[in-house]
Amino acid sequence: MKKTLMTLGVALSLSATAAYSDSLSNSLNGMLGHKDASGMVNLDSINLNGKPKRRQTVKHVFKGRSGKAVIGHYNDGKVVRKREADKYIRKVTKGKIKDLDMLPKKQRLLVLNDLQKIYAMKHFKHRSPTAVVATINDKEILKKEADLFLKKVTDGKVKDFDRLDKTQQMALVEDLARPIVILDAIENDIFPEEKENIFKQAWLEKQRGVINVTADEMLKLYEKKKAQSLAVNPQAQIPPYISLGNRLKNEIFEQKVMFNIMKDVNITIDYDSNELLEKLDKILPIKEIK
Amino acid sequence: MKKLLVIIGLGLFVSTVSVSAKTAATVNGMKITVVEANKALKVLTKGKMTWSKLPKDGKAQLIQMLAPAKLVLATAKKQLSKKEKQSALTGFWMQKKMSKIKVSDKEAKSAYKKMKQAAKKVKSKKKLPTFKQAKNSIKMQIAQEKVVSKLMKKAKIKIK
Repeated sequence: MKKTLMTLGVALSLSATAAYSDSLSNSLNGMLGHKDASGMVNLDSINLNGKPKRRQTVKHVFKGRSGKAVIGHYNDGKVVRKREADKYIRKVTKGKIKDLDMLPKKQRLLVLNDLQKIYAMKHFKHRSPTAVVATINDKEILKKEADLFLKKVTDGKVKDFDRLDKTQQMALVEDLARPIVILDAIENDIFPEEKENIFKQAWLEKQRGVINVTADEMLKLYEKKKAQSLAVNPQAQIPPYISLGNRLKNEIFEQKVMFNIMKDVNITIDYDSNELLEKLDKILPIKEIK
Repeated sequence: MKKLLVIIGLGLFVSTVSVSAKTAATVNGMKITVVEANKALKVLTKGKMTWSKLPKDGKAQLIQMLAPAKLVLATAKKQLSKKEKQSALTGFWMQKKMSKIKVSDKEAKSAYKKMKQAAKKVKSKKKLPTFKQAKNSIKMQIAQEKVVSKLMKKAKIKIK
């Protein structure tokens, strides 16, 4: 009995194994026959034994414009040829870029700008120092004047007016124009008499820095004035010295100026200068003319 | 009638020329004309006295009074440099023009704000005065800018 049971068990297990192996082999065979829909990369074509294939480089032949093509103009009107730009770009990029047309438009314009600047520098012509570079209200500005002003405002870094571009030149001339325009206006707005008074005031102001008034002098004048006032009116109220400080100083200053100016002065009075007028008055009595 | 008018005209012309050219005195060689003397007398005597009617000592006194101004002017013209003269004239003219220009508090405040921002931008360590403290000088600066820009607008500038 025991033997019979063992034989049956072994037979059953063998039949079950055979059934499983059949379904696996079917499944694998099926995979080969059907398209993979798992989304995974299909590596079927990989030859693991083969040498890596050399990728063939596709030669991209760039065809730009001809070297003769005109790409712009220099400031004197001369044309800029593409070959000049190519040469420049080759030099600047150390041979990495040889054709201007390989660059985007923005960079092409920059190259042209550089070429124009280089050309302007190379073909720069200085005007003579006496050449008129601008006019301000019809007043001529010479190049040497503009150069001097430029040197002054740039602390000596730029000395040639002609080296500036038009916008810079205009800005500089406008700065230069300011005092000229103001002086023109002064000529029209201030009367000769006013002008004379201004000069007198300016000179007197200048004298304040030259003429010295000491505290002793001020005190001496104060005491003198005090004595004079008290002599006239013994009850007079005399203001304190400190409150008269500036007034005393001004008085002494004026005295000193007067003394200096009237020193060795030569005055001649023409006492008879009215004679002719009196004669004319007799010929043409003013009342009658009225 | 025509003749009379001609005579009157001629007479007036001659008298005007004579008065303006006639010298009342000379101070270090500089002339003080009768016109100048009369002008001063008009102010001093409220028009009651003229040079021709003035007695000798009065004339001497008047000339002594007028002489310093003549001398100061001559010295000023001689001693002041061209730059100093221009600076004095410019200062006076600018003051005159600026007095006619109005600058509002709003304009001054806006300029102050700009100034403050600029100082912040450059990281200035200098302490800015308050608006109240700086108001007047800002207003003067704006007025000056207005005067100059008005003038510059009229200027004819050409680059050659």
